[in-house]
Amino acid sequence: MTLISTYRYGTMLGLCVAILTLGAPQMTVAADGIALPPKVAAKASGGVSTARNLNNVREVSGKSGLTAWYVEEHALPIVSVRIAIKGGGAAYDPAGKEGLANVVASMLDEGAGSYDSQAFQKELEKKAIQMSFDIDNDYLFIEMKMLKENADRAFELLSLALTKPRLDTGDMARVRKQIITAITKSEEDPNYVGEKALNETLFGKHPYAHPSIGNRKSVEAVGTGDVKTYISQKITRNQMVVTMVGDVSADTIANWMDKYLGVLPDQAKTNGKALPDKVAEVTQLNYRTQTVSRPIPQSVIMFAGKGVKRKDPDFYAAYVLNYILGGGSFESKLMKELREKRGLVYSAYTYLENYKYASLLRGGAATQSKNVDQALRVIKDVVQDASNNITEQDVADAKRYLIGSFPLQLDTNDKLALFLTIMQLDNLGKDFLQQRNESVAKVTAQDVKRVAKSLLSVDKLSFVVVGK
Amino acid sequence: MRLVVLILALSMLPFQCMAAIYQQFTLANGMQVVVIPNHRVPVVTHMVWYKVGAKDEEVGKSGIAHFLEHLMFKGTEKLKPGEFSSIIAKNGGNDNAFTSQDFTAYFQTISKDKLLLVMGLEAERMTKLKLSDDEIKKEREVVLEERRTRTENEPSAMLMEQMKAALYQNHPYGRPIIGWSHEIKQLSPSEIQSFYHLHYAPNKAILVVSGDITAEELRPLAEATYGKVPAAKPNVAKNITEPPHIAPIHVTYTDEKVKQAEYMMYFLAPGQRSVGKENAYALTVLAHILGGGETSRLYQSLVVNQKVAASASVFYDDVSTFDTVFGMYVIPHPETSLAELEKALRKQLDLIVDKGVTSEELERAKTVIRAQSIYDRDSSKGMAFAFGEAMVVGLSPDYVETLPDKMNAVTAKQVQDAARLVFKPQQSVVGVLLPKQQDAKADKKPVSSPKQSTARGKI
Repeated sequence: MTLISTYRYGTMLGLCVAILTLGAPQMTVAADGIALPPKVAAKASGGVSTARNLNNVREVSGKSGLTAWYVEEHALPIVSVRIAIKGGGAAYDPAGKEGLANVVASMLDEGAGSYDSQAFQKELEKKAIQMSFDIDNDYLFIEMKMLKENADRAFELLSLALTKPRLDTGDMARVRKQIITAITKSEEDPNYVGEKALNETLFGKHPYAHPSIGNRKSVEAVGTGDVKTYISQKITRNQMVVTMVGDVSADTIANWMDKYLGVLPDQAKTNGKALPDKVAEVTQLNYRTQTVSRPIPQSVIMFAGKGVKRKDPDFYAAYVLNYILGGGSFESKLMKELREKRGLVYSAYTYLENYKYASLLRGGAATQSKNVDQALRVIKDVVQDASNNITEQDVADAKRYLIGSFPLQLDTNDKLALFLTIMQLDNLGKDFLQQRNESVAKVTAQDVKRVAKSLLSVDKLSFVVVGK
Repeated sequence: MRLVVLILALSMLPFQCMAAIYQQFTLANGMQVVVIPNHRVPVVTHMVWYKVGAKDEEVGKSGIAHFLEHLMFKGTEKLKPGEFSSIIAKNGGNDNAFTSQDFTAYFQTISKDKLLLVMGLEAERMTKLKLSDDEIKKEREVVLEERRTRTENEPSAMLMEQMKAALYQNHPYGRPIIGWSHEIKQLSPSEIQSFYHLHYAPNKAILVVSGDITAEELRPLAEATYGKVPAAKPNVAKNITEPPHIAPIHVTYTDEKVKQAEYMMYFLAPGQRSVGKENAYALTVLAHILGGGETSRLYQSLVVNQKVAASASVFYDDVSTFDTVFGMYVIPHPETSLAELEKALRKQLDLIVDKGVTSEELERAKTVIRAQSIYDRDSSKGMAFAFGEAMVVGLSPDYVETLPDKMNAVTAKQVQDAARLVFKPQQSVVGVLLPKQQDAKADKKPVSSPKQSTARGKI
C-alpha cells in the first residue's frame, strides 16, 4: 500500500549519513552487519530511541506448533507482524526461472478467495491494514501493520492470501510486465549495474550471482504453475519464523497463529515437482577488477571481498573494523581520506553483508570520471593501510559509538520487529539485546588488527567501476 | 504488487487527537521551542530549524543555503573542522542536516544524558562558525559531487529539475535546492559568510526536541545554551509571486543513459500558506484517491485496466510557504505511445473534475490517512520532523495536531472543487524522459527536440 507521498525525497539535500541515505544503495546493513533487502532496510531506517523492553523478548507457542517471538508495547494501539519463510528467497529459484520468488511475493497481494486483485486491496484499505511481501536471497518476508482493533481481519486476509491466492492470468501477465519494466529501469542505475557485475564475479555459478528480481527472459518463463508449486512447497508452518511487536498479548498471538496460520500445511507438498530446497555454502569467492562502460558524469566504484560469519568468534571484531574503515559515516577512514581531505566524493562507505551461505565486506564511492583513478588509488591505500595501522584509539572510538548508539536502532515497533526476526533467523538467542553491547565491549584492538590483516588485502577484493 | 519504482516518502500525518502532544515556549531572545514528550526510551531527537532555504538566495547565488549547511560542520571558534560530528559519534549519537526550499535544519539523536552537550555545540555554531578558504574550496568539490550523485547521474532527476524550472516562472522555487553547477562554482567565501550572518540567529530558528524530555526539563538547558545567543535584526520578508500562467509547458529530456521512458505531470497547486490554502486538505485527500496505491484511480485505470503503464503515482505536499506541486509520475509500458498514455491520464483528471469522487473512495482515503497518523506516532523523530517542518513555514503546531480532524472533515465537493482549481492545462508542465535514440519515433505530437529542451506550446 503506497500512501500519498510528499516531495521530500527529491527536495531534501543533506550531509550523507552512510546507512540512511547513500550508503548502500542496493542492500543496506542493519544492526550488526545483518544484511536486509533494501525495502525492508529502508523501512527500518530513520528514527530515534530504545533500549525499551530489552528484557522482555518472549516466546509463545500455539497448538499448531508455530511459535512466535514477541514484545508487548502498549503505548500505541498498533501491532507490527513479521513472518520470514526459510528457503523462500531468490537463491532457491530454479535454473531458468530466476525471479520466481520475487514473482510470488508480487502476486500474494493480488487477490485471494472471492476477492479479485482490486477487491483484495480495497479490503485492506477499508481497515487501513498494511500488508506486504518481499524477498531477499534467502527468505520471503511477510510484513503487516495494523490497528489493534483490525488485527483479526488482517490475519484473516493474510490467511486467505496464503491459502487461496487467485493468481488470475491477467494479473500474472501484468505483474510479470511490471517486473520486466522495473528490471529495465534498474539498468539505468549505476549502483544496480555495479552490484550485479560484482555479484556475478564474486559468486560465479552460485545462485547468489543472479539479481533476486531475475532477468527478462527468466521472469517471462515464470508461469502460474511455478507460483502454485512455490506456495505449496515453501509456505508451510515448519518454514515460518514469526515475530510480533505491539499492543498484543501471548494468548492473542497464540490464537491468531492457530486460527489463521494453523490452516497452512505443516510440511511441503511436492506433488512430484520439487523445487530446490538447498543452496550450497559459498566456499570460494572470485576476485577481479572490471569496468562497465556507462555514459554518466560520475563514475560509481564498488568493491567486495570476504566478510565474517555471524557465528564466527571474530564477528564483532569485523563489525568494529567495518565502522573504522567505512561504516562510520564521517568518522571512517574512507570518508576522511576521500571526502574530507581531498573533496573527491560525496559519499564513501563499507558494510558487512551476511547471507545465510556467504559473508561479504562491501564498499563503494562515486566521483567524477576524471578522478576515478585517483579515487581508486586512495581506496586501495586506505584498505592497505587499515590492514596494518588500526590504532587503539580507532577501536576505542568505534566501540563508544557502536555501544552508545545501539538504542537508536530499535526505536520503532517496526524496527524492533525486524530485529527480533533477524535474531531468530540467525539463532542469536532471546537475550541478544542484553548481550550485544557486552560483545562489542569485549573486542580488543588485537582482535580488530588480526581480522583486518585477514580481510583487508587489495588482491582479495573485487572492484567494479561503472562509468568512465 | 508493490513494485512501484519511485520512492514515495510517507507524508508525516500525525495522530488522532488525544491529549495535546506537544508543549511550547519562547526564549527571551525570540527562539521558539517545541517539546514532544515520548518516554518509552531514554533517547532524544534534537533539531534546530532555520527559517532560511534555497528560496531565500539572491539571484545568481543558487546553492548557497545548501553549501552553508555543509560548511556548518567545518569548525567554530572552539571546534576544529569535523569535530562536531566526531564528538556526537563518540557519544553514541547520530547527526545530519538537510536543506529545502524553505528551511535548513540540523539534527542529532542521542541518549538523553548527552542532550546538554549537543545543545551547547549547536548553540556555538549558530553564530560562531569559522570558515577557512581551504575548507570552502574542498567542500565545494564535495557539493559538486553530491550534485552529480543526486541529479546529473540520474536522468529522472534531471527531468524533474527542468520541470521545476519551467513550472515556476518567477518564484525562486524554480531553482534547484542544491544550486546550478556554474553558480555553485562561483560562490565566494565572503558571500557565504554574509548569508550566514544574515540568517542564523536564535530569533530566526526553531528548536524541536522529541523523546524522553519535558518542557520543564528542557527550558533551563535551552536558556543556558541558545538563550545566551543574542537576537539579530529580523529580515525583511520578500514576497515574490508568480504571474498568471497562460500556456501549458512541455519539457522533453533525452539522455543516452535512459532505457525506460517516464512521463510526469506537474500542476501548480496551493499549499497551506498559499492563496487558496483552504483547498490544501482536500488536495491531500485527492492525491490519495487519484494516486495513492493500487486501488487508486490512476493505478486502476492505467495499470490494471488499460495496461498502458507499469506504475502510476501521485505526490503532493501541502507544507510550504508558496504554491507547491501536485504531481503525477507514470512509467509507461514500452509499447505504449506517449500520446496514448497522456490521453488516458487526462481522461482520469477530467473525470474527477466533471464527476468528482465517490463517497466510498472518500471514506477509504480518510481511513488510511487517519490510521497513518497513528502509525506515525511510533517514530519520535518523524514527529519532530512534522512539527519542525510545519512551524518553519509559519504554521502553528496545531496544524500537526489537528490534521486528522481536518482530513476527516473534507467533503466530496471540496475534493472536486480542488481538482477543478488545480487541473488546468495552463498551470501545468508535462515532462517526458526518453532514451536518446528513440526521440524521433517515440511520439509525434509533443516530442520533437532531439536534445534537452523546454518547449512551450499547446499539448
